[in-house]
Amino acid sequence: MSVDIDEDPILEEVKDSNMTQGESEIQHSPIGTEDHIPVSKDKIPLVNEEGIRLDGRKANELRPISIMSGVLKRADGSAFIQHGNNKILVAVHGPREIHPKHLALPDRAVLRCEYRLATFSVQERKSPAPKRREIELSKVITESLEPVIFLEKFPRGAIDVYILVLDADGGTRCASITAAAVALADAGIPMKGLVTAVAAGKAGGQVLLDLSDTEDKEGEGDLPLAMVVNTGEITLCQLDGEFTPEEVKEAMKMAMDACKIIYEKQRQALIKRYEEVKKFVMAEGLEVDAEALDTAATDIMDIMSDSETENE
Amino acid sequence: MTLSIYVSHHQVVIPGDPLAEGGSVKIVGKEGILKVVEGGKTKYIATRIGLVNLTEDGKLSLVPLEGCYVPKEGDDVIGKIVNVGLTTWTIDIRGPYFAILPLNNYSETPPDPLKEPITNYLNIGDLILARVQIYDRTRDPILTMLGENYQKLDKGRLVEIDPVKVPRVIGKKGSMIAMLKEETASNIIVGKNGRIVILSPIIELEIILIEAIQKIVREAHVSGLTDRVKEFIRKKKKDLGIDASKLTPPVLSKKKTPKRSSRGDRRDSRDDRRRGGGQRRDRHGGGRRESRRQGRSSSTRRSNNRHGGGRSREKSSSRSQRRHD
Repeated sequence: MSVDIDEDPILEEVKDSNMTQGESEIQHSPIGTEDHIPVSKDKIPLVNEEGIRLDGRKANELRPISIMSGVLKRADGSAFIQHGNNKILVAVHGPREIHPKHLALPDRAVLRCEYRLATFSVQERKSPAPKRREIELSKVITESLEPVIFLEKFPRGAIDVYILVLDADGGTRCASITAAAVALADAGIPMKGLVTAVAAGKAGGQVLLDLSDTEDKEGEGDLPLAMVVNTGEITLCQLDGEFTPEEVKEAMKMAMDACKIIYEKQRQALIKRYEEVKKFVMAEGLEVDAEALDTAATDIMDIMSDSETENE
Repeated sequence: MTLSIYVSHHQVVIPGDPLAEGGSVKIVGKEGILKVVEGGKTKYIATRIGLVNLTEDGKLSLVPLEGCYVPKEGDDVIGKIVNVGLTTWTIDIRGPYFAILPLNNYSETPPDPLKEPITNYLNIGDLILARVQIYDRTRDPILTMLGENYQKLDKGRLVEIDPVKVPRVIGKKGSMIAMLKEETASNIIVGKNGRIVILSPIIELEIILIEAIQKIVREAHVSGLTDRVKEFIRKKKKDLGIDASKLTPPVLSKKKTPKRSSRGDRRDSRDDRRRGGGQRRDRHGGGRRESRRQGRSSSTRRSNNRHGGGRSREKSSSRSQRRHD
């Protein structure tokens, strides 16, 4: 078949779509099917004229985030994150014996992350077998967490991180990293700091923070970013789609600023558990005078630090 | 050099939190603290969730609140047998690595795998109290059960807690554990790896004790722990109408060791093994003594002669001699 540029079918299609974009023709699905409601993606802009997005957020606004730590009894450390509609459960085991043994490294531990989507987490049933995407994300998450963990403290060992996405709504890799960092800290694994992650992206011609599923799919690109907030180091930066250099800079700045907000949530998740017990005990109103309490406290601290130094 | 401490006493910190800056800060213990030198400045950063301990003379240390058990030489641990080899047991001590208990570390007179299966002494699933003998970066920990206290834990109930909270269960100079034992008339065996075996005279006290231990773990970072737990136990006992003072704590059964000959010592039993038979021991006991006096090589030869000196006997004795060397 000879190729004639004027009659190239692909070009024709592009022209067509360009033309329809300007028009306001509503397409109807046949009545009787599930989505017979008039739908036109072109009609609903991802960002409206006031700069408000589909879910009512502004361009640089995060979805509501809540993190809990220590939610699982069997795991050494665990965390649960709700990032918008994302619900992710993370369990950490380790440091522990590695199986199969041949994976062991002589000088450090192996960090193994397993990112899994539950069968019911997405629109259509996801086959439970790990697919290309899950294997890739497992690798990406492992590499973003590795730099902060002192793996060399546990030669020949393994640290296993199991990430289960219960409900997915865009930005699961970032939410997974955020939760995994909390779970690792909850397991008492020595780390340089917590890793925090959030995605920025481009949709509806604008740079937006924390893309939702629709914005991610319909938009022009996204930029997931993970960083260690205390040191400012970036451990993950991916980009797909088309961005101008200015847009990349803007997206990165947006994501980095948002990381600081999420970091506070991570911090609270970890500290809250201890503070709650403290409050509960205080509320019990025991009749012990404050002085006795204080001395008892120092006693306990002494023995704890004694045993620490003895062990050194 | 300026000194600045960013944290207060008893503050809960998380990995990455700056603790102090400046070279003159006294840091006690390296656990959970990272020293960073950046452009001539020394910074200390927390690497684990922990409680800051800041004394009035400016000593700073971190008490971890979470973490797995890291073996240390000399620690008493409660292990679970996960595998039995020919001459070793593999033991789970809740650490990063499985520990090894060699046969010779079982007792002064070690069991003889040639005579009987070593599972007669310890089998898969058994709990033992043992000491960490050797542990470093390059090797898996090696345990020892030599000593009177170290034995199989064949009774009681197992409670697993966070290893970092074990010092709280013990208390200052053992104050907490002594209180627990007294109040509940129980025998409590604590392993540094966060396993506790309790032996209570009655089930009610056992339950109270478990609840008390869980309370200690939960409120480990809050002051005034011993008094609170004491009050808790007394209240529970009063509610149930139990008088623990009249009850006596149960004890563990005696450690099972291989039978030794009446005049045998450890060395003798080894000689026996070289000869390959327990029954012959009595018949040729005297001769063995005589031969030992004349040095090893002649002893082997002589004993062979005494046994009738068949080809097969000679073979087996030379093999065991090589092993001994």
